[in-house]
Amino acid sequence: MRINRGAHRPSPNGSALALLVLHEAGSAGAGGDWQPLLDRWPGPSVAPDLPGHGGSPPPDGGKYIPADATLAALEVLAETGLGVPPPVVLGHGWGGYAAELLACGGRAQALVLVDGLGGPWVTEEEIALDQVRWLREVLEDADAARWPGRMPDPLLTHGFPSAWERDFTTARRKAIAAPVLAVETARSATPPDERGDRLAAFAGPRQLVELGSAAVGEAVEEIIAATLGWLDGWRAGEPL
Amino acid sequence: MAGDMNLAAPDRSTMVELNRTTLRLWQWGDPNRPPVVLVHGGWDHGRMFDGIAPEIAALGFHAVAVDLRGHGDSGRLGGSGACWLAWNLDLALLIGYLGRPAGLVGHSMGGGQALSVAGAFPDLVTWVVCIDGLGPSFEGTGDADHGELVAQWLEGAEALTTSPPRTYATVEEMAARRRRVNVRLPEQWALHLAVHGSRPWPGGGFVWKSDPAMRIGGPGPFGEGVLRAQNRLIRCPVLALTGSEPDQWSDLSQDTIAGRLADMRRAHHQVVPGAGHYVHIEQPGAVLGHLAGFVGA
Repeated sequence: MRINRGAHRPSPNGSALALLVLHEAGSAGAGGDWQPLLDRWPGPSVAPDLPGHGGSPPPDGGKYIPADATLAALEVLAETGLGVPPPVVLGHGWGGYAAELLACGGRAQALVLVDGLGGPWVTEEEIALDQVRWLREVLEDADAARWPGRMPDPLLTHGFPSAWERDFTTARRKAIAAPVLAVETARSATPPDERGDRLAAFAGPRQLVELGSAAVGEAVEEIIAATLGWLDGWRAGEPL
Repeated sequence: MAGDMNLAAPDRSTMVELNRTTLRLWQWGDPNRPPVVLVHGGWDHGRMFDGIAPEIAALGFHAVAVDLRGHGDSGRLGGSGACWLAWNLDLALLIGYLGRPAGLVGHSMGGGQALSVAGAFPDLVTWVVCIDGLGPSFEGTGDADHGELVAQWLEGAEALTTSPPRTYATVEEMAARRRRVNVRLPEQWALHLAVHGSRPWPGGGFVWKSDPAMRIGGPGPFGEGVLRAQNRLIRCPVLALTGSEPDQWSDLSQDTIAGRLADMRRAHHQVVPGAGHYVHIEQPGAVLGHLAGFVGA
């Protein structure tokens, strides 16, 4: 994979926590959308353009699975040296899933999930049916079968088939002991009455912040404030 | 006789560009006849059908064995190796390229691919012969330690970018390695698979053509329920062939096999005596007999 570092702020304070930001699938601004957060983060930070976005071409073969963003993040952490000690990882949507996998594998010191608690729960039967829906939709899209001439890659407009099976997701989250901040906007795919329970599945300290903003683009300042406030509380030893 | 080498090199070979990759096709028989696409298993390649593909062509079909992406001479996998849906799309587009609905013969993972494609795209698939490819056993996977599994997955992905591929001094050494894993595979067949599944390494020796990214897969909620829901979508006739002998990668109980087949509307199961996982290699005559009867040839 060739990954453009996107927004990157080397190290204003070498002893501070590093931050990795993973953007949403199909984001036109890609990593650059998160430059304001990087500018105010007290440590080194990076928000790569994930494959198929901004300055990062699709992977060889031009296909994606949700976990590809995790693998791209691994490469960026290795290249920037921000993986040791593990950084705080903020993920938005698809990037949230990638961030969760990093945390599950012990590669994140803390998680910030922006609209990242997942879509409606699906049964195993619904997983199979959604895969078929996705396959048929993509087969009909000639742009999805051609190498993309622009970013974000048109294939990504089809998103991914749902993998939000309750038992599997809950078991994964039980394996994550890192602190978790969940920031939810009005655009979140997670049903509002389920957000608390979904967050409670994580094994470590957690906090839920619900914003009234219609979408992440309108809420960047609020997300930054929530994230930095949470970080300050964490450093001060306050309960998260 | 079991495992006899009676092979015919492909009549033609071509590379096709589709679905953002390049696929190698090995072809036997008249291209104007109804197509049969032969799909190999994980880590294998299309030349594993050199035994039965020419015989299928002789039944009146255009036999087309494909190197799946990440295998043989075809394009690479890119990110992780978990590209089940990309393979589904590759095969659907390949059938479109061939110009008419196709019969599918799949072995092992290729059998699973054939069933998936038949369920997702019923208008493209006329029938499926699934050779020991009804899917993995999921027994015991419900208690998996997600933290450990994901940590291993991440370490595996890192190793891919930092470790050179494993090299072998000779193709014969690769064949011997293969036989240590697939103990029932006849020696000559192991050599055939190694000859066509390897390439020289610039630093000396040989490496497998299969993309090492196949090793890393991807975490996801794939289990018995997903598989059986896929099977319930299949409308075309299915012939499932399994070997009678215990073997590597043939780990389904008879009850599991029966359950998975019961979900398909028109499935028929034949156990082939004297074969393990590589049913079509160990007992090509029996496989062809069953196939010919199944398709009415």
